[in-house]
Amino acid sequence: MRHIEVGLGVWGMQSPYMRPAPVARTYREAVRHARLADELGFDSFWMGEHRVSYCGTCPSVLVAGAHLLAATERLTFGAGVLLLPIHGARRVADACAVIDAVAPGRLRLGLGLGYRESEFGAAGRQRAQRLSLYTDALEQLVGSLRGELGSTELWFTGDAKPMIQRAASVGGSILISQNMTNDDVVWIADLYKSNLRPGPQRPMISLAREVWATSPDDDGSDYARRLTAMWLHYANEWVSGAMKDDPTARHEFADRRTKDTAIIGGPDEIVDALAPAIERGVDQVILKIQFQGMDSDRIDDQMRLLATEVAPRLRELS
Amino acid sequence: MNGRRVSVMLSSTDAAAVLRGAEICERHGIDGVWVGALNTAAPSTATLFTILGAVSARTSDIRLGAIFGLGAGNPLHVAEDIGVVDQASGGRLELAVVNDGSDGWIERVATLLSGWSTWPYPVPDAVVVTPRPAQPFVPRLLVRADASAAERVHAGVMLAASDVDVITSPVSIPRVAVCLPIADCRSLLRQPAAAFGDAVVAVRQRLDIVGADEIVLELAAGDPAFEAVVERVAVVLGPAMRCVASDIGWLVPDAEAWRSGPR
Repeated sequence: MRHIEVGLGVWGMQSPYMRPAPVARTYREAVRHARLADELGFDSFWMGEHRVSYCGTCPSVLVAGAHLLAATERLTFGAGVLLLPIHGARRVADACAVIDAVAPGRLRLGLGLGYRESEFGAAGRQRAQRLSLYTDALEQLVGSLRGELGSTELWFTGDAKPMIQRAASVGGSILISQNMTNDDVVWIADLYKSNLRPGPQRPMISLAREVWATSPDDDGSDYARRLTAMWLHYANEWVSGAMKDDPTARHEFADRRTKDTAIIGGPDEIVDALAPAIERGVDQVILKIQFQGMDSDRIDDQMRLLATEVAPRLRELS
Repeated sequence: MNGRRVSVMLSSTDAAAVLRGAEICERHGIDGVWVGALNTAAPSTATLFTILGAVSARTSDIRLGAIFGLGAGNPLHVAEDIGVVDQASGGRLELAVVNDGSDGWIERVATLLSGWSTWPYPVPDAVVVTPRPAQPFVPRLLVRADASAAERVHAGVMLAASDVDVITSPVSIPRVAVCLPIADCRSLLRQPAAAFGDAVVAVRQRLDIVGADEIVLELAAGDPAFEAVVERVAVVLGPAMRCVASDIGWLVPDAEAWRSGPR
């Protein structure tokens, strides 16, 4: 029988136009959310990173991770994701060693490539070299620096086949993005398992989904509106060509993203929507309830609802 | 009476010991903890600021000091880590930047410390480092630096005790911290009560000569006696560093008696 984990994501300590806030408050709120998640029995708490952003998104995910882990007792912290080509291996290994000393076995290091020109530029690096920077750094992390990481788990993002094969070949776990459907889980799990070389950590397949459980007091419309605003924001980064200068096309893109990927409904609908992925091999579901612009108190309520009505039923699917 | 601060430099390569040490210092009312080292064997900035990220979650009032050199690390990450730790700690971070002796080091320090308003890598557009610190001005000291370097970045200086021994008049820099190395602290803080008063007076005189605003005591964070030593610093040494100099004669024995009495 598999052990199914339920995690929460994805914090970033932003102060966006959808919800301007003093940055220090966003860190305090994240601590409160992490403690509540710990208390409610969630398995993991995930955070992303970006830099040189107008909304102050946290660029030092491992420093913030150390902060959240020191504030909690049990849950694991997921760096989802750390942009490896920008940090480099030495810096990552040093930070992981500290976290492993103060919170042994509670760090999941999700490694990503990054894509924003401004982030690479601010670090004095070329976006065009990101793959070679990533590969070089990864070789060091799984090679000469592996011992310094202690019990840190390595997690890999990216839905492309080479990334999945690479993760499996070093015994790492994988994070499947919300871009992948439940049907995609079948080929991803097959590819991962057929290339898997056992290592020191439990190899896991994880799936991220935007999820909001509705209740008599909350029909999910605020979540949907804010999620759409977030996709609109990301549209500026992701889309290119004519769409970039076409406000209507960008709004259509954002609306479609919310409709296609978010699971907004009662606990039964959420469990039904996630069950096929778990049956096809997913070991951990990351419920993405936090993003730019979510109200902090609503997050508290949502965590309680998911902890009582959804998480136990997802775990039973094992 | 003066407002001189008493801080502890947590000396250990064990991050868990540093974390526990910071909690002990806060519990005993120490003004600040410093992490890092004055010499070139200092930990990397990634190590340092990750430790401070953890410390900031387990403490609420104590000032958090980072002693570091710029070395080979990317200054962007240092500036980012400073912003994150200062925000996460609610504005408790202080910096001590070590002169590595390389050409142009003070210009690199200046670039780092202005990163939240200008950043010298305008690719593809002008950017600034985010998040900015919670404090409008992060307190900063320079180590092994002269007055002109300190003036360049609006900093004070952190002096090693050996520097103080060759200075005979107050240093004309707005803020001066004096660091007592681990061996001096060990010998000072293990003095029997009868001899402690004289030892404290000697330390106090060294601080007064240079007009020090802060004494930083380097202590071994993993030492089994750490908490007892910190308690002596907080209860006896701290007040003796702040009181009217002529009061040390009665304050030290009274505080020692209080410390060793029934609780």
